[in-house]
Amino acid sequence: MLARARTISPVTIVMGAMAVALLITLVLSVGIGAVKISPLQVISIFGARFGIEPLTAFEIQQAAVLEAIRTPRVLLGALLGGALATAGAALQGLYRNPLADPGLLGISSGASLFAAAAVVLNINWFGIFTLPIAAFIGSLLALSIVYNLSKSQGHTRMTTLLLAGIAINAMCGALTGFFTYISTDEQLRSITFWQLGSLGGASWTSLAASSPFLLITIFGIPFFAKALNALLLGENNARFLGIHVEHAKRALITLVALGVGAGVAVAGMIGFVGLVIPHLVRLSLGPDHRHLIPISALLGATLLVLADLLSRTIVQPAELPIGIVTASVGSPFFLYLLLRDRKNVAL
Amino acid sequence: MTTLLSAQDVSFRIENRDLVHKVNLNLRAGEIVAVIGRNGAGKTTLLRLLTGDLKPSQGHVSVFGQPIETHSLKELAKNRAVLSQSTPLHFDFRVFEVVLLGRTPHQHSHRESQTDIQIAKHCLTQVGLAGFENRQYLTLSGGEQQRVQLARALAQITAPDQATDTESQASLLFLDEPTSSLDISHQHKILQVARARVDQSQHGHALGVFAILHDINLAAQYADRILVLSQGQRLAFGPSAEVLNSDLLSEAFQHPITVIDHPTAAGKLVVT
Repeated sequence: MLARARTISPVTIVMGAMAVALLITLVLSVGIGAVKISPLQVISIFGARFGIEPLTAFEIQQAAVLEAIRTPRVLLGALLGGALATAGAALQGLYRNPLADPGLLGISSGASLFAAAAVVLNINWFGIFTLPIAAFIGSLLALSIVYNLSKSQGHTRMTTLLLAGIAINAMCGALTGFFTYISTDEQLRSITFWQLGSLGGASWTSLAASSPFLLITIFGIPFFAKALNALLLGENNARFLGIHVEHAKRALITLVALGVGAGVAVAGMIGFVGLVIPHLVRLSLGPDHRHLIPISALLGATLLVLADLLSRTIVQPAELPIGIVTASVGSPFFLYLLLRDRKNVAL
Repeated sequence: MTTLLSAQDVSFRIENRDLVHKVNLNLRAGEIVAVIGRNGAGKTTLLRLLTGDLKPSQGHVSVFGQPIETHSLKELAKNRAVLSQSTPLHFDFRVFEVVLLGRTPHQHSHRESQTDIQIAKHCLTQVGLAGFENRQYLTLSGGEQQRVQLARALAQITAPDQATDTESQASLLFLDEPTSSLDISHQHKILQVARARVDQSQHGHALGVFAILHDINLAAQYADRILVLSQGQRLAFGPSAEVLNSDLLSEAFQHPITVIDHPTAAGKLVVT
């Protein structure tokens, strides 16, 4: 018999270890940067907020940097990493394709197009929120076009969804290219930076604006773990297993759009997290979504915080866009996985 | 014997053409009904009508004595399983995880119960794959994969041991050309398991199997009754020995077919 009932399953241990790793990463990375803050000081500064006697001395400047700049940035990185990885896991399950990515549905490119348009057309209706709001509208618009195109006779055709996503991606790419072409040098710089992705703009305000969406994605998608498992057998078989397939698909696509759209809106384009993280978890723990999703969320959060740490420390005092970091670390790693497994696993 | 499944004058019309035309049939507990016919005769459409995947343009389908539309998807899933010709599973589950997926409609929590595990284990043994629990599904041969899928379908409609006779419920298994890409030994293994399940079903829970079969000889060997479809219409429906005759099959398949008595076993043998 499988000894599952009494013993703690390996998955639970991995999940616990991942949670601890995330916590350590959070505490360490808020302390690293131009202004150094030791882990003890970090705890003391937060403790002081709640009237707890500080464990060690710290300077006012350290507290200011920690509270106003580092903490919202690191938290945003963790939430974003979690949401992107969760969204990737959900899409890969929906498409029954381990290579599916949030970028596939046209969400990211729709967001990118609207952001570029806002910059070049000098639209400034919402002050500093103009770019995020434009990106958010663009992502929702792109997704609803793609989704409606792929609906026929009440069913969502996943192949059409994929192809419509590719078409929308190409169209958005062309239009973004056009806006880039007519932009001034200054606008070009701003578009490019946004496309490369950065958590540099993180503040308590942007965290407050985006975290509800990111949290809905992270905590909503796990409810569909069993449906996603059944969907891996094909939509008909999932239906025969009692799953309301249309309902699950619609809910999942909406959850993905919310998380990815909000993410692109506050941090620009950050690739590879949604693709690589679930893939990595699947290779080590199997494709069961009941643990794939939460562990992907934890790993995504940890790795994106680390990537952001790298991006803001590697070329100090300047910052390397985080999209460059995730892509340059993620793509060779992904290639390595493909080459390693090309013999036994048919993707 | 209780009737588990029935169709009354079921038609399915698309673009002014009846893919299925006024088909009547019934399936009783404890029997295997096989459907045979040429490609495009409407076998798959009929199966989709009977599983509720398609709504008939005319006529009615009843499952477990009630019109099919009165059953919820989830209730149906507890007592009815469908094994398709092929299952598009490209993710590297362990074999046991695949079989456990069959227990999905019975699970109230996120995790499987001991009962689910026992049933899955039992069904895997039934299809002759005991010991395959921890093998990676994608590394199995096509025949083995199909047997794993059969175990999954069986796990879906297996009642727990502790269920008393009064609790026991009738169940239905649909097989949609389950053997068409398998070698001879795997073809027989799949149908032997179905046959064994049906024969056990007189005591306790009653099972009926509705199978689309590509190979007429497999139908002759394993089915109690055979439905012959031709151009969406029922050409014949009855006990295998009656239905399997040279003239009828030659007409249904538009090809000369000879039916002789099986030289070594009971029943008929079809020669083309």
